[in-house]
Amino acid sequence: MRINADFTKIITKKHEEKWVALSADHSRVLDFDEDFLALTERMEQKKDRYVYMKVLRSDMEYSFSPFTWQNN
Amino acid sequence: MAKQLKWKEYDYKVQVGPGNSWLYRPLLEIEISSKNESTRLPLLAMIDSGTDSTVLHIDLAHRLRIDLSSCQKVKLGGIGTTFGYLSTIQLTVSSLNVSMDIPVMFAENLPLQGLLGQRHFFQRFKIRFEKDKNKFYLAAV
Repeated sequence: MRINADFTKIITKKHEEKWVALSADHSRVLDFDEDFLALTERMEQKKDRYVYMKVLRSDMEYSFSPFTWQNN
Repeated sequence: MAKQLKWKEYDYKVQVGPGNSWLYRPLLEIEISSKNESTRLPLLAMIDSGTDSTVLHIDLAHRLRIDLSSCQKVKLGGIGTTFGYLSTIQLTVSSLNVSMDIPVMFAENLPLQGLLGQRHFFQRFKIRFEKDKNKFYLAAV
């Protein structure tokens, strides 16, 4: 199975800061929702394979590192 | 004799960024599960060599029915500070047929689904980034 790497066409403004379920080949957005549990409830009714991601905003660049942790 | 590594090739995922630029990110398909819940959650997590440990969005913990009140609360620092809950989950990289139990931090306010960091994840794989080709490679060690 050819896995799509180009999300520029399939992920749009309406998906930003929301959870999306992508098709198994990452070529289509099957469903999306702000509420992850609601999305999983719908997706788990389906037989298709899928994969989740939370879409970042397109109007900013991100720096995640360095994440360190300590006891609170 | 040195063990022969079997490298698996992946494409960076490209998304639209500021000013209609294209941003390439090394997103890897993984599955996570917990001992409390039979559901396995498939997700694309970002390999991040600058993150110390593996950090996942707290919504995933809720779906896996992880009791956060029983988890150690930890502080996560970077650009800004947030809180997380330390728990151990099973993480699978199906494309390499590797499963492992791994401590992760479930973080509040994480803008994406997950970061695969140095501790535990990078110890389990050799990882090669070839940004000039927008490819990255993993091999189980």
